Amino acid sequence: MNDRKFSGRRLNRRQLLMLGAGAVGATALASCSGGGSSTAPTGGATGIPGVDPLQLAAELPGVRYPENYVGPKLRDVQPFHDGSKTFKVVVQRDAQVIGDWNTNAFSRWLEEKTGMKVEYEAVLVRDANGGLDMTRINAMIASGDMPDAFLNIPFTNDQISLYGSQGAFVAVDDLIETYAPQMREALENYPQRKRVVTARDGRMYQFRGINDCYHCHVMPGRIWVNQRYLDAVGAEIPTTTDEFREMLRLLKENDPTPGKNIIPLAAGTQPVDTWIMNAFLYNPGGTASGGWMRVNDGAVEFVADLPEWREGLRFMRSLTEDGTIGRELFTTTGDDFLKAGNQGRLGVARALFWGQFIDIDYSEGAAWRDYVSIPPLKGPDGIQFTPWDYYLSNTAMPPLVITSACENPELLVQWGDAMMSLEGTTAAFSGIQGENWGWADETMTGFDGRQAVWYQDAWPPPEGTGWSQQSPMYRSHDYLIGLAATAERPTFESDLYQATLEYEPCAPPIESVLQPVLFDEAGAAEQAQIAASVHSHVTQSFAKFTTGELDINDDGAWQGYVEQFEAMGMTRYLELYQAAYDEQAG
Amino acid sequence: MKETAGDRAVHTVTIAILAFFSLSVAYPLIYVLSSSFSSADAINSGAVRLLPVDANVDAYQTILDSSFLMVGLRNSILYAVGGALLGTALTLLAGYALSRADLPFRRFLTFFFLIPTLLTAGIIPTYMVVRQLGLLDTPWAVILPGAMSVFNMIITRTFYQITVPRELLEAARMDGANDLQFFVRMALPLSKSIIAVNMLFYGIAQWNGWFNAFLYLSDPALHPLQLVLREILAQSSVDPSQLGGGDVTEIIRRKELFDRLKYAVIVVAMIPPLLVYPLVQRHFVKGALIGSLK
Repeated sequence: MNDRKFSGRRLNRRQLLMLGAGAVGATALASCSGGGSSTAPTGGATGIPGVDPLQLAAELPGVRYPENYVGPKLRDVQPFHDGSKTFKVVVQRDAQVIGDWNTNAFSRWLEEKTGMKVEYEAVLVRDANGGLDMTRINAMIASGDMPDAFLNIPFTNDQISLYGSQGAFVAVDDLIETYAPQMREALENYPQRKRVVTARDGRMYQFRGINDCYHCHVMPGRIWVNQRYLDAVGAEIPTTTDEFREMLRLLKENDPTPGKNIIPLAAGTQPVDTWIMNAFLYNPGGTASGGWMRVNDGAVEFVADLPEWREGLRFMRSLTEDGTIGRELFTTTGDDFLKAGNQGRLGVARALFWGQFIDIDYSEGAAWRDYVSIPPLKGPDGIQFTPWDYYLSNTAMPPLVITSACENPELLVQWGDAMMSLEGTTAAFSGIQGENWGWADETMTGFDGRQAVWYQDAWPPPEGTGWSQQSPMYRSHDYLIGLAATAERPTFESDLYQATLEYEPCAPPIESVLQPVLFDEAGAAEQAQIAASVHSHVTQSFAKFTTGELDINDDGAWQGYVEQFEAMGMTRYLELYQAAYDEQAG
Repeated sequence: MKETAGDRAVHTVTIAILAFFSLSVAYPLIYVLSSSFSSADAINSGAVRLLPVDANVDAYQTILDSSFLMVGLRNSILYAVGGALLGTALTLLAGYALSRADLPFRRFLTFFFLIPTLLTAGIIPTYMVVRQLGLLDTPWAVILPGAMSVFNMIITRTFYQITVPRELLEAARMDGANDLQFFVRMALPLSKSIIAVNMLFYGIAQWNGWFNAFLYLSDPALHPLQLVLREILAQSSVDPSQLGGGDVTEIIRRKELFDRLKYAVIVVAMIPPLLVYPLVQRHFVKGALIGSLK
């Protein structure tokens, strides 16, 4: 671990913290640093020497769990601190759900349950387009204006890894072993989570919960079709690419829309390739920060220049020739997509969920209910995949990052663990128990029809009572689908759960899915640059080949497309990924 | 006098062109205004084209009811007025002094003022200065950094050089006025137009500004309107793929709030500048244009 850096001279606390590992256990303890052990040969966390690991508190009655329930259970959590110290935690501002962090009902609940006094400083980290704007955070770090911890500040894993190994953030893996029994249990149930939260040096610099949201696994790969329009033209939900093509043709020819102005297939802002290409090969899809990578027998592989990709483009081209799609498939903005949906013009909509293309509410007979998901299509060669994100790398799972300015990181770890409890997780999410949520009675059932664990009346809870999804949480699969879904308490989550069931069987084997990998500082810069040009080349060419601007049947055009990747540095790009994968996978 | 066919043609073409430009300026304003009185459903289905559809004042009611928007409005007015007064005072003092030919080290001082226009410290050093002065989370952090613009100061200096000639100063001296009396009783009354222009520049800059508040303020009770709007905008456009279970409902809720509010909020944010511009506009010719000659 960090032993190489340890020179043997006496270190002050700050330097020790910078080493993170606290190379000499005794000194580390005396100065209450990040702790650690110099005797861990493999990098596995061993806990704080000389301290008995805390165990899960006794279970309390009053909650019904379904059979074989895996997740947090109601336990007797007691305060562990006398409130003599005040911790400063930087959080994201959220006026609409959380309000003032310092007077929020969950903040008060947490203080009562743990005894920890925390002063919250809320900052803005997003720009007007919803993108990241970390100017304030960077200014704080660079000017030494460090809080005790950052909660749910969207650092990338690369940044956390880098700042951690530089000593700005405290390693929490040993602290978790000793002070965080609920987190320990969660990581045992979700062993693959460790890969995502471990830094390049093998340590863990973030206390990050679990949010095993079932439909989020497949969010980027879904597509919806209007069942009512299908019935009107006498078509069925397609199962193969050929049937899909035929269905679009039927929709186009026997236009079932009230205004006779159907758009058979529209996509808004969602990429089309992430969905259709999976009928030709496993394609995880990509963004400007990377993607289109999978693992083939241990080797990282780029998918957008393979012969199967070309077959997929040929299929798209055939839709253009049918006249069922046009340039608008790639040029529609999110607003126009929504307008078209609300005007009832959409046959098939490529979107993460209904709300992107149509106004939704819970009323019976609402127009969005006509749109049902199309299960993954089977391609001409029998290929039938769906992108399936085993690592939930895009799902909200707020990291708690403890900084080197914190004198008692073990207390913050215990604080985080209290939020991972069943009560903490639910109260942070749903607000005040008894007012907005409670434990389910025996009549309530979850999304899968089994006994529900909890119910809630409304989400988000009234302003100022919950923390939205900004706490370290332990929302296991069973916990999430254990939310009561009844007629009085409808939830879109249940509809999304149902819409995901038919996708799961088409998930690729986990070995072929590239886990999120970390790069060093230079590698990250290089990767970002190449990824951006790869992204624009793949998406632009996809549109050009589809619309016929480039001829997919012309070998020269295809060859030019493939060679362009080489010029962008594809060899180096794959090398970077392969090295990171070999280092971090497994 | 009878118009010739040629005159008429010229008039028609001129009117057509001017009408086209007026419409292209007016239409977005009218659209925003109409949308602010329409229902979110009507906006989302593209039904609003010129006049309000399902006319209502819900959006304005929401703004009046939401404490954070009203607080933002109050703060914005405070910062705009405070920034305008402080900025104008500093600009007049510096600009007038530098306009006087008998000021010692005048060239050096002018150059000194120009340095920060060529070199700026960047975000992090400025943040450190603001922090160490203890200004974080105070209204001063918004008003003080960049309180005076060197560009405005130069315009003001040139204005004084032109409109307050040396002869006037000499005449006042003959009557026994000292420097302070001359500035207060002669120079200031002569420079109403440049004062108005400065007030407008600084006031609008503060009204539109959000960055200082974004960087230095954590307390939402101090946030100006623009930052509050930015936050609403940011939260309504979060990528749904970044979010997990339960969020679908939240996205919808935020989008609804945003759809309901966005146009009304634009109208509210637009009103003060719209009110002030016509009042100050006539001073532009005298103030800014003369001042910027040299």
